[in-house]
Amino acid sequence: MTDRILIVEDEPAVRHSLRDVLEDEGYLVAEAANGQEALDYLKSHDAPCLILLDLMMPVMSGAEFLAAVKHDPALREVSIVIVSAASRERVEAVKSSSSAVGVLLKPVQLTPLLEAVAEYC
Amino acid sequence: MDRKAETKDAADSLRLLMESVKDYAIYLLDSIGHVMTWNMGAERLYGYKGDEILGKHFSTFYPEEKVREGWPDQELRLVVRDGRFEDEGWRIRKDGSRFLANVVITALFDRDGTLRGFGKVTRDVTERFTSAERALVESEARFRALADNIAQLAWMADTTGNLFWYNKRWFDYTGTTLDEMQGWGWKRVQHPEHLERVVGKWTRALADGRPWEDTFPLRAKEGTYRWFLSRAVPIHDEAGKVKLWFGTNTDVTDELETQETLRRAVHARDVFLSIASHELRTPLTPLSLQIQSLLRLAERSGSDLPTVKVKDKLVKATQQAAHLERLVANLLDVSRLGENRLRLEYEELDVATLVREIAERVRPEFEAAGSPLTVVARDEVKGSWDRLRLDQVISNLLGNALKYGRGKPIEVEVRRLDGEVLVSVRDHGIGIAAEDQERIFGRFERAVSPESYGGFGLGLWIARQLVDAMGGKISVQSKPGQGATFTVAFPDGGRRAA
Repeated sequence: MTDRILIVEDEPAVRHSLRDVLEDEGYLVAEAANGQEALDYLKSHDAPCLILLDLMMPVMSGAEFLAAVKHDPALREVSIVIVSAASRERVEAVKSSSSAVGVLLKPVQLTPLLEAVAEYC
Repeated sequence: MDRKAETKDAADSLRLLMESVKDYAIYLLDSIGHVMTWNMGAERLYGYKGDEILGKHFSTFYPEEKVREGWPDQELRLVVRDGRFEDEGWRIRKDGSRFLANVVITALFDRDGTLRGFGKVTRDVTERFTSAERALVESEARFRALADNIAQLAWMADTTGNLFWYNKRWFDYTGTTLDEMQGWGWKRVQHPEHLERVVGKWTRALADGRPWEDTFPLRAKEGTYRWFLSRAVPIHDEAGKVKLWFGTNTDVTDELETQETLRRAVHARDVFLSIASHELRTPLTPLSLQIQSLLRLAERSGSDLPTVKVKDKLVKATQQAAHLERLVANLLDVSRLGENRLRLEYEELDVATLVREIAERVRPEFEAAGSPLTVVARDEVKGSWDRLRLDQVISNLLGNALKYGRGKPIEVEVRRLDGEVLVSVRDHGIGIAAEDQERIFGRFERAVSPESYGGFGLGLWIARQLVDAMGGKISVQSKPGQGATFTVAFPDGGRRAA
């Protein structure tokens, strides 16, 4: 496991702002624009300390990514926090059927984000 | 006097005698039942003058329900079989009133056995009825008048569930006859998908003697189906035993359709609200993250703020604020377009130049997404256009091209063809199935799941409304997996041409 954080988010502005604030705090960051890119990244790199995962994404959605990870023994242990603009009920429903460890609702606030990251990295 | 003259005299006398009989209707029918002669008694009894009724079919005198059952023709068949037939039953006068008739019909044959017609003797025996019986008949007549004129289909069934009577509207709607509908014949106008349930519930109601209710489609004579709310109540005798069932079918198709339209509208609104809140929240994340990290930076750095970093964060926050503003403007457009409150502001401009300007504005975003943008615009295309709205249409199409064709090249072309100005935006992305190509121009519609691609589902709807308002047309050519080309066509010269 590395001390790198993987951001999986299709909206470039959101992805870049998450990267900016995490790098300000001295974290190493990798980016993926959808679930498929994230799986590809995980195959060729050491597991990150945390994945920040959006749900609504083209190619492979967050929910599909969670399902893929759940059935992969090598990836099941990675900590995943869902970062979504969907309603709390919907996000909690997705989380409960997955191995995700936390939820951050958009618009994401800086303090809870840094607290969540500090817990796993 | 010779024998022939004697016979003629006797026949004349007989005819005179028959014509003068006042208390009996005596008349002849041809072999299929048309009235051939009419005496004074017939005129008095039925109320028709000879010239009004001669040549008409004798079923005119029968109540409608008897005609529907085919009773008049059945009578003639029995007369032919037995030579003579006597019947008592209700007949109708010209003014619609009823009387109880005693009828004797005799078949008239030639010497060689060919049927020539029928002799009919009818008299009014209503007086034989007690006033109670007459009241019953009148109440029955009133019931039928009511039953045949209500908006519902109505019917009666015996205690075993055999339907033995239907009102006129049932037959008008279904185009069936009583013969076809007797007993359980109504099953043939039921929809096959509902038949089993309907029969099951009806059978249980019969067994329990409890009121029955169900809603199901019934087939009209045209072969189409409409929905009916159907109810039946058991009618009890003095001892409390079920005597018969009285049922109605009320057409509720329009109500159901209104409910469905309403339900869809509410659903579309809910979907839109959830998408809108998602879309508006998304740019709020980078906006508030940049501002909060700026605040954190300020708290940490004290008086020596790193100017470059601060400026960078402020630029990004401003970009997100602008993005939010565009989203809100889109929402306002929807309400304006929906109410036809759009006002166009025309100016002289060159479409090719405008397209190049837009391309330069969005180029950095396209390059960052791995989608190089090419503009092909050889000719000058001058005319009178609304710059902002034209910009909005082309930006919307470019935005979609990038959204669905990310990572692959995108081309914009401006050209003149046959008196039209064509602006095409081509991507090489996921493409659109033929069955979705019209739908995607609808409000809140999209060809893909909102789970995969965000957005209001309004871009193409807005584009089409704007293009319509500017007198143009928008179309799409695409195949799944092979990208899409959206083309906007305007009259050359813009408003000048119109």
